[in-house]
Amino acid sequence: MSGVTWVMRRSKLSRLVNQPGGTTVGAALEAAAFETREFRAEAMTIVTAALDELDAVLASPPADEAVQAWLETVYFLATRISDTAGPFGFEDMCAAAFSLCELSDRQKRSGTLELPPLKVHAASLRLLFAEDQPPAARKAVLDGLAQVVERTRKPAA
Amino acid sequence: MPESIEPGERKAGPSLNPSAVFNLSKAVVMVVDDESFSLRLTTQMLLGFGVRTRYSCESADEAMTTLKAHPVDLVIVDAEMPGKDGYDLVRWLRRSGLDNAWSPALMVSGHTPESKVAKARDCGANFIVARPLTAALLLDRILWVAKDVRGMLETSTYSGPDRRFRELGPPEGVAERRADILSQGGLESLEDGRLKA
Repeated sequence: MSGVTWVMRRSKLSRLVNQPGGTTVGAALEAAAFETREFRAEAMTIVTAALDELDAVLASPPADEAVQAWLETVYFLATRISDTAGPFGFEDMCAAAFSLCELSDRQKRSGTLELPPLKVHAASLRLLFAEDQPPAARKAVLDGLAQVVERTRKPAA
Repeated sequence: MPESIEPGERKAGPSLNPSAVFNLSKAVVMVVDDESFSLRLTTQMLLGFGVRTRYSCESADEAMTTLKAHPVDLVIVDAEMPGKDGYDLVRWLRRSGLDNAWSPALMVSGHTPESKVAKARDCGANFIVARPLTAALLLDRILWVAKDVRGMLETSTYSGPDRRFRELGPPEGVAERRADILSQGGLESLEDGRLKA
């Protein structure tokens, strides 16, 4: 017979957070902005390098036996782009990177490499990162990616 | 390109009241992330929140060593790391028998590979926070987890917070982001109670 232990306990964090003193949410967010003010330039450098690396990887599709590791690299670069650009307002780019994660993970699971949709994602990431586009154009890019992903879900007729 | 937005300037989540007061000055917070940039960024955000004692670890192994040696009030851990990932770390922590075993854990996740959905669901983290991780979102979730009154369950297959949200829901006054549910691709069962109508 399996046992279940259920413990009601208040975390120390919950006691600490209500102690006298402290700061307001507004002041804390301002302070966080100040403390992280130097990070944006570094983030842009990291994202640019990741985009370059992604292009280079996609330009050299692997032999069959190396597909899994290759797709893992694509997945890793997509997460790096998303994680680094996300905190700095690149929400559309994060959505595109997330889509690339989903696509590369799916291809990895199926063991089937389809290069074109991956390249479409890489090109879209560049558009969303570098071009000063109106929201409607950005939305069109994301809608296009959604269609690409949807097509890859459907079995070939 | 979007206009320049610093992490702390992002609009607060709907639950963040700018005039609300909190105190994290005595809280000991650990951040675990294999990506140096994300690790430093998150740690700097915590500095802005008034957290004086912060541990930065670049791997689960490094975090385990620290957790064995020092009290930690909150663990913020990246889900995807090479080798032992964030899920492995929290699962280990919950079963470690350490004083820190039940410390709140926030799992930060971008995309969850399908192969890790069950692992994510069962690891014992208090909440999974969907990236992108902004200062406003991080603070929101820290204050959220500080209000978390769920009991802790320990069974042969699961150790962690009671996952039955159906009657409890998010803490009072806290609105959840739809992205926290949907972007976890397949974590619906974990969030089951939060998907209630």
